[in-house]
Amino acid sequence: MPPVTDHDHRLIARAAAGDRAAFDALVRPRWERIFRIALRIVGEREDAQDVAQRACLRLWQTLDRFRPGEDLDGWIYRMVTNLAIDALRRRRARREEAVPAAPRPAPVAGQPEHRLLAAELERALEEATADLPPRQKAVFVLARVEGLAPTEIARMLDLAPSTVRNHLLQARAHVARVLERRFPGLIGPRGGRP
Amino acid sequence: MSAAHGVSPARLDAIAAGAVPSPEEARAILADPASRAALAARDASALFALLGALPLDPPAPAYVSPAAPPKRVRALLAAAAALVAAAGLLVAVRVPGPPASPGAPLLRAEAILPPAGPGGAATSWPAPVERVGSPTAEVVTLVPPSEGGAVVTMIVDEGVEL
Repeated sequence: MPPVTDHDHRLIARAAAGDRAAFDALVRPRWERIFRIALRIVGEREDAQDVAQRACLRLWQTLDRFRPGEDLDGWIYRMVTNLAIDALRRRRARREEAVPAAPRPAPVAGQPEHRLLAAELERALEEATADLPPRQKAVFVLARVEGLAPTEIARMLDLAPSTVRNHLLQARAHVARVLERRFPGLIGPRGGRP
Repeated sequence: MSAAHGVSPARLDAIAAGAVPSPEEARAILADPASRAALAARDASALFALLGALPLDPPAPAYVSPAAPPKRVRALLAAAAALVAAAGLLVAVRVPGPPASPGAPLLRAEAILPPAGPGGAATSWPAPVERVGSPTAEVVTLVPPSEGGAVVTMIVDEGVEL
């Protein structure tokens, strides 16, 4: 995570005193990543927007507890991750009682090739992680999609680093199996092994 | 092959080990089946690192400040402003309660408070409720959060029969 700059510290102090503009200046540059983390964990845009908004609201309400030297991004992404895990648990509980949710739309022909494949990869991510426990899915998303180090994830989620590594190991093995079985086209031709 | 597309085997090793690819690298790997196969052979789950490098499609929704009052409150403000503009300056309302209890105002200031500020501190909106001459009357001033909006003043008096 990038270190908190002096500019951020000034914005934090003003926002903690109730300055809305300072709060927005602090959060707006991070909004896309906040939404992206929520989306990749809950897997549905409407729920993700709700999670991201609630994370921002909670940040606004608790910013005065932030202490200099703390990791601001870690703090923000921890909030959004925990809210997303809760939302995913609720969503899965609802889904068990209700009609299955509609699958993500298939890629639309006519898009540039990398966009088609990216859309296919999005679907693969959702399907390959659908059976993972919510916390394990969150660890996988933060590590594999967002590129956070296991030690950062452990700090963010209050987990032991060994627990994070175990989650990752299990998730990677599961995801690889699903990809090979259901999305062979994404993996590409056999023989690419080094 | 990857080198032909600008993604070397060493770079694929790094991405498989957790490095974040650049958007250009992500597009190059996605577009080249041999590169995807080479990356997947190192770690199939590393393919999802490509997603993290590419912009969301469709993009994220616009950021909405959580410090702004909720949509419901903005709608209430707009409705109240229109009401005042049409009917004059003053609105005094009372809903008759049961015989043993005084009436309750239709609109209570605490029911339309925006999210509390940091530490639960009240924000500057709406203005505090103040007492006026009548012992049962209260003046409620709603100040919109952004400049240029209408300021709405209401007197809510439980002692006035309509």
